[in-house]
Amino acid sequence: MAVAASETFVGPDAGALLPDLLHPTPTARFDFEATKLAVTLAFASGVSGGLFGETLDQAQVAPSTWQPGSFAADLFLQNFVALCFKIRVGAKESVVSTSHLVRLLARPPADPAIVDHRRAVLGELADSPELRRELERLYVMLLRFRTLLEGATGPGWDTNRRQLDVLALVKEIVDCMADGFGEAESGLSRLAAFGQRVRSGEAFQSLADLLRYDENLATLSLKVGVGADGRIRGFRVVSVQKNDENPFVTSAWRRLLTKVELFARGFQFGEREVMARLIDAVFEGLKDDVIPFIQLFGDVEFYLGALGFRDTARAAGLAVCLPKFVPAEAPLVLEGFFNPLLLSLGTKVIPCDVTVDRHDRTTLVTGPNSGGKTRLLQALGLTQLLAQSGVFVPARAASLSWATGLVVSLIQETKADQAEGRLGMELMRIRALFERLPPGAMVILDELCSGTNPSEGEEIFELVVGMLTRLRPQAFITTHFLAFAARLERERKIADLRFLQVELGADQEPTYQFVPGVAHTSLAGHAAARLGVTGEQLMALIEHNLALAGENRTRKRE
Amino acid sequence: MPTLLTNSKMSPALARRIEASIRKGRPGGMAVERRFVALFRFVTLVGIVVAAVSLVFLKRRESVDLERSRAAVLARVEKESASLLAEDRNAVDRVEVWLTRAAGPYEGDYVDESLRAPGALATVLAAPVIYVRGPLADFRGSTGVEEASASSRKDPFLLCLLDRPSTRSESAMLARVHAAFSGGSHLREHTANAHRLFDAVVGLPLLAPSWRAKVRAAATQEDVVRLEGELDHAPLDEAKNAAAAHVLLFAMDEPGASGGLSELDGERPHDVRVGVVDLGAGRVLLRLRKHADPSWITVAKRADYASGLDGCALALDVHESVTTPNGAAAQVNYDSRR
Repeated sequence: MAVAASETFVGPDAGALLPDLLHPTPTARFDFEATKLAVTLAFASGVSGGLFGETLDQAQVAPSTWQPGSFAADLFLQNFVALCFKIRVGAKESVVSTSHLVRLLARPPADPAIVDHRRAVLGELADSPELRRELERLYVMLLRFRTLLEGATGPGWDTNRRQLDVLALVKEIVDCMADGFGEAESGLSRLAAFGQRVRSGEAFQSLADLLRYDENLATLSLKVGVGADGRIRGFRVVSVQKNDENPFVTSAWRRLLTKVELFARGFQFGEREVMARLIDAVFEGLKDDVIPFIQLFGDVEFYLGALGFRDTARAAGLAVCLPKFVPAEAPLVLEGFFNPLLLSLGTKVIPCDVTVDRHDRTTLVTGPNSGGKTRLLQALGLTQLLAQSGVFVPARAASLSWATGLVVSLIQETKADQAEGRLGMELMRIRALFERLPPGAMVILDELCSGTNPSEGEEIFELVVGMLTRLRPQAFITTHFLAFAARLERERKIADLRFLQVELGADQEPTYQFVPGVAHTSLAGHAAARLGVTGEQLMALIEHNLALAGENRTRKRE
Repeated sequence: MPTLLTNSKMSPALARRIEASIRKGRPGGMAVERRFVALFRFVTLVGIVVAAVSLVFLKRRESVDLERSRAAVLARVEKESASLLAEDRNAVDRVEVWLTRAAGPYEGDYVDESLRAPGALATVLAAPVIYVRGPLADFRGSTGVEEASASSRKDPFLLCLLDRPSTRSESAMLARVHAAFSGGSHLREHTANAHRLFDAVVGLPLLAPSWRAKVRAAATQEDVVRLEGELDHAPLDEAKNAAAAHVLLFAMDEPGASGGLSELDGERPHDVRVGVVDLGAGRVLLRLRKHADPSWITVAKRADYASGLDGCALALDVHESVTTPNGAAAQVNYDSRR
């Protein structure tokens, strides 16, 4: 079965041809011929290095309207995958192909059917511990397969032994696929279909015969005589039973003649060369069915990583879910919502509930410093991304609408080569936002126009927000222009605006919950006190420094 | 291309893949290079087989050639020895017996009565004669006899005995000496019936069974060629003639008196034992001890011909001893005049 890159398989047996777990229509996402050559060389010499990693990194993904450059860095997507998409089987944590997972998550498929397909697989895995165990078992075998295939060999190493080990693992993997997923109803059922198709083929039968031949050429029954002193006095062969049915079993004479023939044809003389030819022939028959293992490895990591995210959240006392997709006119509902990036900080993560009456609205988020506004924006971006990638979102329950893209601007890093000042850079950011923003996308902006004086900044702010509504995005914007925000709320000049504020407790401390409305204070004083910037604290520092300087002068005089 | 690695138990698809695997070789390996290896091995194998077959063929041909050469040599020996009588094969041994005895304590002069008649000695000596002359001491063992026979040639004594000079004058004897030393037709003609013991000593062993065994035992062609060379150079005809001789004629030079002068050719006053033996009858016909002394020879001739002239004179002494009634002990004074 030769497959071209991006070739899709349709029909009732499509899943049996290619075990693609990510797409409803099985798709080969890699250069089949190039991978085939690489796998052949790896099987022969075992010096392919990062065969799996390179193939997965270059694998194509489903068509997407999202541009990773617009959000991946601001959402710390790489960190999120590394911290949350962990695969732990038993006590051992595997090193996942982070870059492949980042590529997958950063390009949510444009086709909702693909998302549905992934959600069905993940849902079934979440509901069925047996299927998850089988998938983990398959993953461990694929890991071993990768290690064996990519493992280097030296001059003194037995290449045949290594290749037989690889073939034995191929058999285990196919058996696992055929037997372990027979009950699956989602896309996982493809594993069973694929495994059963391969297992019914001649090549697999030859593989099984070769492995039996390697392990059991013949059975010798011996009778051992033991004397009164316990010593062995003799033994005799009771019977010799050759596995004559095995096609690889031949007479000693024939084997000798075969060696001579191979020698005459330019090969080395010996049993190893004979075995090498048989291994090569068996592998040649299986090669086309082995190459999809690489793609499958990436797919399995995707689902096990998502399950790992769920496990991590659960360990922190948090729940995740597969969100409900609703129309843009329906309310945005996030219950038990949290920022998954906080899971790695070791602090207690406080979930919140966020509700907005419609998705296609612009929401201004206000609140005190360190109240969780930026974390909320990160979480909203990640949630939309994860939801549209078909995996769990960091919320106990969620109703989300489909977004055509995501533009995030959270970080204001100063770069050595930047041509403009802070305001200039911000204006360039706004320009770039409108250049790439499709209708119906999600927009996340942190502290818009904070780089200039409030009166001028507010003008630009109002302009941007007014224009944004024309594209009907889901927009979340934080600001410290509280008076301005209050005015917008009061005047209702922009009809599509919604307002969320950080809830304050009785002690005026943020509760990390968000409620409708505009905050009245940024609680800068609280932040200053928390960070040691009150008048008393600064005066104490000054007095301390003066005392220290006096002591130094006295010591010098002495 | 079919291969022994496949069999009827295998599925056709597997068999095809095995054949393909053998065709393309190891992954990453060069098929062209493997063909060169196979070709090189084939050529090497063919070379070894050809060399082995050639070696066997050469060995067999060498063996056949050796056998053929051996057979040729043996056939030639067979042919040469066909005319040899059984008693002639050990002629040298028979002669050695008489020579050893004669070299022992001298038994006294003796002339058989049958020789007394005029011309009787010549008649006896006209029969096939085997002749040898040498120092007395050499005749006391078989090794010495062989050495003596090697240095004994047809000499003036033999010629003068068989072709007696008309006078005892120096010039008459000198003519015989010249004839003997020149080895010309005169010598061949008058001594045709006389044969050297040496020819029998050298030639007869090659006609003996032991030499044939040596030919049969020859392991290489070189050995056979060497033996054939010996055969080529051996005086077989002379040996057979010598072996067939009826009469033994010998002269044994006793050591001269010490202190005497020797001539340039080694001749000096000394006694000489002369014997004639009828080998057929197994009896001595003549046994004489004569004194040879070159002092009678003229000074001019003595330096060159002393031994030859003394030998010829000795022959005349023998003739005269036979014809003189009590001449066995006769010693004649020589006339050195011309």
